[in-house]
Amino acid sequence: MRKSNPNFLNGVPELLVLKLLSRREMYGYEIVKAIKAETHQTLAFGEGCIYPYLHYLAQEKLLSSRRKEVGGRSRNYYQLTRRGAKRLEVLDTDWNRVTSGISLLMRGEHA
Amino acid sequence: MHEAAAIGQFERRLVELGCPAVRLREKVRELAEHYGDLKEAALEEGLTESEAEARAEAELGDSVLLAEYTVAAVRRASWWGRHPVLGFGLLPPLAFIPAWVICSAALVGTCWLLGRMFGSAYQIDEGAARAMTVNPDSFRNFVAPANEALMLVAILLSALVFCWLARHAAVGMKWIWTACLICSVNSLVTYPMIGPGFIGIGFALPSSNWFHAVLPISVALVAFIRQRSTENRLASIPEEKRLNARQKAAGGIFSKQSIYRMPTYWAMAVFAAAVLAIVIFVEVMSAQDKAEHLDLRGRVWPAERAATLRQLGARQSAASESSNPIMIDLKARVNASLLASVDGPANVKDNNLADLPRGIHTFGGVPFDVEGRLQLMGRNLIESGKKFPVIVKHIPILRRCARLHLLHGASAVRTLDKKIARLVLHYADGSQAEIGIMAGQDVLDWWGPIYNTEAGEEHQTTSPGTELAWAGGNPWIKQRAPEFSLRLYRSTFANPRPDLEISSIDYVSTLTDAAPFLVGLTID
Repeated sequence: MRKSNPNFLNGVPELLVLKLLSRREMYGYEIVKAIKAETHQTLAFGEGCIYPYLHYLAQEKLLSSRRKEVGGRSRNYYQLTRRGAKRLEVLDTDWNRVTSGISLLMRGEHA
Repeated sequence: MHEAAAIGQFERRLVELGCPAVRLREKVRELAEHYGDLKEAALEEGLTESEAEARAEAELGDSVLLAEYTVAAVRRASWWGRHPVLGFGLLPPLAFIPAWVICSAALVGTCWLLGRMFGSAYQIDEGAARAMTVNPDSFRNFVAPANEALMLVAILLSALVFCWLARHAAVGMKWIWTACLICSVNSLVTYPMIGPGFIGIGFALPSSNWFHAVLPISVALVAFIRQRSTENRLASIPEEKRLNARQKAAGGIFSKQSIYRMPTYWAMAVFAAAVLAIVIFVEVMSAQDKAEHLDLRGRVWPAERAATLRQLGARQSAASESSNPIMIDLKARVNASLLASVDGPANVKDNNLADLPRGIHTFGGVPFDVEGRLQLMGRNLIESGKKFPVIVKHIPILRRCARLHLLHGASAVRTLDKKIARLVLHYADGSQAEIGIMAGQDVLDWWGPIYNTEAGEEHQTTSPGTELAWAGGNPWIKQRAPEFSLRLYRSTFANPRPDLEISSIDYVSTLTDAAPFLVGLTID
């Protein structure tokens, strides 16, 4: 067993971004809209906050980006790299382990 | 400047925080597109232009805080951004040496390439290179301008590299100034030394090379002026908003606190502490060495020099140890005055033996008639353009003798246990014999210490027939090596065939680096 849990609260935006981009490439505005839509507006934040994460993940080579013109408008699209996919697997496992642990506690199965 | 205040302020704050230009444009463009999308969505919902803009700005969040987060993310992603103290505080002094090596290699490579392309006129001739390496002064004269140019380029290069790294890691002007100031101070106290057969790095107190120190400061100044002029073209940010964003960013994502949790931060901190400890240790040891050296120069060496001179004086005034000594008159063979420089650059006239008493005097217990020098060639003299014979022939003796006493010296004695000269004894029956004069055994360089403490292992001759016979000085040695003295030796050699009359002696150089000279010859 690991000595400490991952800093999962800090890792939530990273997990969400990687998960969304594992489906298809997206640009910043699209990612924000997707998070809002898929979480039924549960997660509300300044939309610009997504960019520091995207840039950080891109510099860490977890994402790659390219300019692409769609519908006459040029956008910066982000894609998951192979390294990003591995990172997503780790984060996903950690997240499932933590949430199932919390669920157990909340349902009181150990009481 | 962007129409939307939020985007303008975002760009201004990115510039202030030192975000590199290429990334800055990309980030501003991306955020502006997002703002455009938000505004378009609001307009589609039927809001007015101003209402749509207000909503877009609100949904985007605090743009100044966003700039703080963006730059923090850039810093977090790079080693230089995570460890600015180490990168821009400790590494700049260490970077000078590799920068200088790279510049030197580039210069040598360029010379080689030019030589290959345009012929040997662009290359250093092998003979000239060898001549320079055996003559420190001409070598210094050749190397000094090139070394000065290399130093300037290396200083400029290291300042530019750190400036670029600071811009690339978005650590801001603070660290650009830090790195450039450290480069500046380092350039004042560090200098590469190139000598015949060695390359090293020296450290000295700040000297007159202030121009070196100006270069890194100029680099920082240019970066500062460029940043300020860019800032002035952009939208202003209310001070309250800036302060508020800074406070929020300090505890938010990619904050400094999050860097403290990284293992590499602590590994680097330990490394930095170790480097600092080593530097302090070296400084303390160097201070101790300096104190010891001061003690040697101020107290120990003068006392030992005085003792040696007293001992030499006693040997000079003692009764002759030689039974029936015959001083050979060398006047007819003398080829250099005692007032003429023995070696050194052509413009140096006072590196001489003017202090050596002329006429008949006892040195090392043997009387000699001193009238001048019989100077022979050594490679050192050939290559510095001086002309002396390789051999002085037929010094008339016309007597039998058991021993030969020489009062002699040599310049440029660099290798010991090498024969630097020989005496060829011509006997009356036509036969001849040879006596070798060995560096280290019979003679040492005429410049050297006459004290014992820390004088080096090879400061005394090893042959039992040789002793230091005279020590003195001249203006040039006082200027160039005040701890050293001029040294002449008395060497006594047994005549291999004492039963035969020696008709004459030849004094012959073996043409090593050393240039031997004879100032007195006595037989008994």
